[in-house]
Amino acid sequence: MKRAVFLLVAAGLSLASQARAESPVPARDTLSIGVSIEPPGLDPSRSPSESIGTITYNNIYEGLTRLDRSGNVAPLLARAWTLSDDGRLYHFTLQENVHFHDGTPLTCDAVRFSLLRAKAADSTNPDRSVFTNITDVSCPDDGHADVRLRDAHGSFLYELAWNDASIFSPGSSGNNIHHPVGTGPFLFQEWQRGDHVLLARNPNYWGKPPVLKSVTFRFMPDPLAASNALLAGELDAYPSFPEREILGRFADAPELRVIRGSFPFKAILALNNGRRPFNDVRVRQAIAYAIDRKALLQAVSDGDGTVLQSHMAPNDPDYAPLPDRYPYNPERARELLKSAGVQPGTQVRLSFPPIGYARDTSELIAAYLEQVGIIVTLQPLEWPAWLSRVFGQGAFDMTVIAHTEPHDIGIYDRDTIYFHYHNPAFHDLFQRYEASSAPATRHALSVSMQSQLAQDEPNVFLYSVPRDTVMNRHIRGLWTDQQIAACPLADVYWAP
Amino acid sequence: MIFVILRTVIERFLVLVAASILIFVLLNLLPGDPATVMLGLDAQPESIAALHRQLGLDSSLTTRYLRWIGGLCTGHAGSSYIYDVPVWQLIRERFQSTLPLIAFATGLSLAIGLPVGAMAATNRGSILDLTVMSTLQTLKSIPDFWLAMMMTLLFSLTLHWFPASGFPGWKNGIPNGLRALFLPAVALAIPQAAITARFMRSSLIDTLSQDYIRTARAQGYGKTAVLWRVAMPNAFIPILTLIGIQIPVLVTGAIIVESVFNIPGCGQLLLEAVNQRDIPIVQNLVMLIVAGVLLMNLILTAIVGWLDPRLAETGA
Repeated sequence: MKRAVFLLVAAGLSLASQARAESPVPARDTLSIGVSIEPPGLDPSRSPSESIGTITYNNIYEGLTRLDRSGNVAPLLARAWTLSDDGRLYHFTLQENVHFHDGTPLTCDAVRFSLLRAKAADSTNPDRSVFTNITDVSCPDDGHADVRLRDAHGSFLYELAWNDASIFSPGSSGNNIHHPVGTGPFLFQEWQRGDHVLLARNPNYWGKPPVLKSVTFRFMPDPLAASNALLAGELDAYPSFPEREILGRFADAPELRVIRGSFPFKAILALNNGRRPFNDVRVRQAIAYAIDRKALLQAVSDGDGTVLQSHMAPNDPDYAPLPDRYPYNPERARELLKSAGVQPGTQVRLSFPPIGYARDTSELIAAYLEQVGIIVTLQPLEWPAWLSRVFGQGAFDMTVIAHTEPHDIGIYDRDTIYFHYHNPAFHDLFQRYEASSAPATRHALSVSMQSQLAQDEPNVFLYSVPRDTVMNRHIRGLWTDQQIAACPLADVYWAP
Repeated sequence: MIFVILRTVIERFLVLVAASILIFVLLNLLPGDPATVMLGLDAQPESIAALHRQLGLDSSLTTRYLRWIGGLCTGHAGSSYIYDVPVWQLIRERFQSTLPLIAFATGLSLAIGLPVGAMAATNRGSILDLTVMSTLQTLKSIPDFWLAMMMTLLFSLTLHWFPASGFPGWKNGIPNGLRALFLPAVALAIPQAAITARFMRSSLIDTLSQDYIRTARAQGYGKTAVLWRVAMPNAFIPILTLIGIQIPVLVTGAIIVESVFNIPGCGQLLLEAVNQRDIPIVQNLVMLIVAGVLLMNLILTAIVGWLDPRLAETGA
């Protein structure tokens, strides 16, 4: 009833505004969204590309669990679950009356197929290590799935919510890269390469039907072209707008607004802990003291954002606001360097990828380090070169990079990680964290891990900046905070 | 004659082989591994190794080169690493906007450059000539990306005559497609039109001072008739050579202009493929551009030779 009254009022208002205003806003049920990179195929189990998640996450594909707006795990294709006492057997109850877009009903077979495919020896799933912990998936009946793990793993439900843990239809999964088939509220319609992907409302969706009839994701790699398209009304929204300098153009556009949201952005000055002089904790701490991170944040984003003390972004539910262990103090930096035997005039190389924040930050850091006697050679690298030299081979001294994966403190426990950090104390904390499934224990352990990293300072934790979404002011329901690369559209609609 | 044709064909073929080796070696000298680009920051070493096997990157350089060339000879260029779509299909899709764009720009550049150049030549030394030539000098110096940005501001965002970005494809009607390509084509054409006009002017001035023009005048032809029936056809021959030079310039210009207008053409495809180390796309597309330019030159040389047999005898 309330809704009917509201609609009537809305209709009346819109009629009135049509009578008065020159440009009335018609009720719309289509949306055109700009994304900066064209996805390399639309199969998240084959590539970690962010744009795959943006287009498909909970639009086309769904997993057993999902992440909500705030990053909490919620049920999706599994409507309930229980966990055995040893933390190694998950018993999932599947949602009923769910069909894939190819018509196949969702049964335990699809769950088993999807999870075992991800762990197979020839799998290139970006998070294969999550699935290799699965020893077996068994089907007591069509509506239930039992997933058995080798080791208890408290993050399992969270990881099942990732895009690469989506449940695929066994019959059509081989062609998902070109024609994605899932259980989600939108159907794949067409992909005009180089230009756009078109999705249409799924009339047979098992959950609440989406409001929008169709959605176009347009590929707009050039920020200037994207801003022109937004200003001309050819695009309705652009989540994660890539160039802050251009945002000023939208200030005078009455139909557009810029919304500052959060995302797991962690800019760090990564140090090669396996190389002299960075294998000495005093040197790493000295570098942290030598850099005025507040000033850095001011320069990069006019002060919008947070100075980081550890490898966790403020929008993470486990984030701990630690005290600033390394306030700007060049004098202290010089003392530490002297005690570590680092001579003034020592030369190091700072490599950085071709991204605005990385370049600006690197130039400032070079200037700061010069003040404490470290001579920095700046080395700009093209993206593939950065990935292969720095990330792949770990052949670097220092690099500026932002890690944008959510909840990724576990990279400090990897055997092979490009910055070569290894600390048994951290390893112990992380193993206990992974084994536990009690939320309070996990949170406490996460805080201890963050403190441990702040103390060891394997990398200098710099800052987290907000994520800017540019959109038409009548759009409602769009995610402006980003926990993972996603743009779920089931709840998005146009307000009058 | 057969000998000349054979020699030309063998020459062009050797150029193609040399180009293929150069492209392959340069691409493999570039730092960056396609598998790490595809799998990103969270990639595990075993996933990268698995992808290397899938893409055939675990075999030697020589094997990979021979496999590529062998494929090319049998018409199989392989699939894009990133999109897993046959390379020819991707290139064919992108040519649907790039070829019309380049043809449109070439047409515009001639339509503007030829009459302007002819007008300047026939009014040589006049105020008109001076004004036109200095304007052209200015236009020639304008970078195409800047021109593109300014035109978008005026014609798309202020006057709303043309779309600001994108290309709807031809299936939405030819007028819509042409409308989307108009501003990019103008941005590409204007600097080239300026060059064409200068060329046309000097070529026509040169032709007008030839003996056969004086002969024609002596035979009683009027000024206009001499200009259109005798001078113009002769002055146009060097312009054909100029077109041959301009087309590669337009192809490289298209990379930038397509980016500014967000047009899904070959330029954007090439740029993305280089940035993502999608080697099958880069090597085949560059080969295709090299072959296209060689073929274009061959055709234009043949036409010039046919129009002016003197050039065919001296040049080759």
